[in-house]
Amino acid sequence: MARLQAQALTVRIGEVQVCRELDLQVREGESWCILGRNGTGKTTLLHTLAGLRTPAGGNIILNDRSLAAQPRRAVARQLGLLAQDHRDSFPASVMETALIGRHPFLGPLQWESHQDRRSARRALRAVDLQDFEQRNIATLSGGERRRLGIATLLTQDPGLLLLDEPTNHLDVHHQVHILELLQRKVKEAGKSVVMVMHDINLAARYCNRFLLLLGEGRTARGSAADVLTRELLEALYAHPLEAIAGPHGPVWLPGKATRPGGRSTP
Amino acid sequence: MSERPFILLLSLILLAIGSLLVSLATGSVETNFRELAGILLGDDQGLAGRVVRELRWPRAAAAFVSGGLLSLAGGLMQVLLRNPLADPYVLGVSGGAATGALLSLLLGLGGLWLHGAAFGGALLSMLIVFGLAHGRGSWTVSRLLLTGIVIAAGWGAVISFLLAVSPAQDLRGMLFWLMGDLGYATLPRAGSIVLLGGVLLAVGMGRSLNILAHGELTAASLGIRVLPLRRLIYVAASLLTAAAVTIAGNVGFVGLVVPHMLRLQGVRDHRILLPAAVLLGGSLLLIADTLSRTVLAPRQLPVGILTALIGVPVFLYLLNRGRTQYGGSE
Repeated sequence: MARLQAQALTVRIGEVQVCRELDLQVREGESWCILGRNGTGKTTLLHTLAGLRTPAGGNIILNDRSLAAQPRRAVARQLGLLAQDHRDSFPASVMETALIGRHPFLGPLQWESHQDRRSARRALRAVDLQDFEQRNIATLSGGERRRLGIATLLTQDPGLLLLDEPTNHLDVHHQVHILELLQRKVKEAGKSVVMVMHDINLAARYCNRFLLLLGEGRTARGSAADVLTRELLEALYAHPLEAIAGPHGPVWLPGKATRPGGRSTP
Repeated sequence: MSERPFILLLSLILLAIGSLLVSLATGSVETNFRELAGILLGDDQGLAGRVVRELRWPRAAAAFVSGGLLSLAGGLMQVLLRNPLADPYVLGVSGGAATGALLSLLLGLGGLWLHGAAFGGALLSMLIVFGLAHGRGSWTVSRLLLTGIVIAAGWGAVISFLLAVSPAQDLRGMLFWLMGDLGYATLPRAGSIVLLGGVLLAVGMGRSLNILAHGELTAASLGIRVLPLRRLIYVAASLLTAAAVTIAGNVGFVGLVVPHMLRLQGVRDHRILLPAAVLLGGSLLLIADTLSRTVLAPRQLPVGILTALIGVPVFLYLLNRGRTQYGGSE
């Protein structure tokens, strides 16, 4: 069953045409990766899929019902978003911040239950923050704050997880740790994931569907074999790429910037 | 963890009751606590009874309610503007109120006119900022803040103009009003209703406020309708401020620091923080007012001076002790 469906979706932001008449189906057990150059509208597309922006055209269907017609609270029980960065303005503890994920499930005057605390604690353990519960978020490092954002999303526990560069700020160990965690959620719990990534190799290893934003509204989508080709990827980034045989399939290495006007590597 | 908020609220309630009793017992007519108990239980007690019932009680109630209103408004403004430096006056509500109040003082209109003009000025300012900050649909924090600050500066010029053209005998009353003064306060019936409504609203939307403090995108993705919520906070904070300045003039400092005093104590959940701020802010203003009419008795000082004189050292002490709360190292 398709969890999220985009029908003839057209998205624009300012002068940038992100996609034109895009049809997309995100099913259970699929993890999609959105790839594209800076400024092609990956984040905008993700926010549109989350229902936080009105598209210029087309429809989005979330679990067989129009996304725009559903109350925001109901949407938040079905899909969650990890934003690209975190903007905290006041002190809060790690535990309190993870617990906000329960918001869409609680009535206005209802307080978080022991059950909610347990799920928050489980989520913190999953991202390796179990010893940080009472820490003030202002004292966390960038990577720790990122993992906390993911823990909040896991506490929310929606069927569809939208993540904007989930590996931002993470060290290599935690990048793999988080991506494997998401992969397990997709494989074992039947979740669906859509994430924006910049690392083609990690994307190829942990995602099974790809959407390439090629600019000017052009897109390409499909499996790794379909779209992670040298030709398409070089067009995508306007940069030469080299494929090397690695233990998990081809590893893409950027070549020197040679195109006229491009910066040369030092 | 779960008992701590209740202990905090309970101790703040005790603090409020304590400040109230001290305030009622203190003044030029000596009243000991036994007499006070008698008066409160309905004994007449002659002059002392009349002083307590007709002078001290309305003034104490006015102090507590306006302190509570300002602290609540300050806490809400800080979340709305995502800025710890925000206070109830930052968006110009108090400037509008001051202009109204000064005009009525200039025209020699006191009492109800003064209160009405202050409240009217505050509402006018709130509507101007609300309308102008809208722009073309966007209602961003920086746009709202800039609009409010510019309007506040405009009011500041009008206030200076009114002071400059006012006859000398009116100036003292005007300056007292601008510094915050409870000398003319009456029993704050309307203010209490606004305060009660504000507390209920704040507790009701407290969890949404907690989330809004993590950014609008996060709030929206968790199902909060951010724009209606922010408008509601703006209108609520403005009305609370308008009610407060109508009672007591521009009492400074309380609305800015009381929410931070609690945050520094580790109170961060707005469902607890805001009602606690009402109790603490009310008590602080009540204590300040008691001192303002006693330290230089029979001379009375504007209460705004005392709130800052008490608040500054307390706040600095807490800030220094709770260094890690605002991003310092462990």
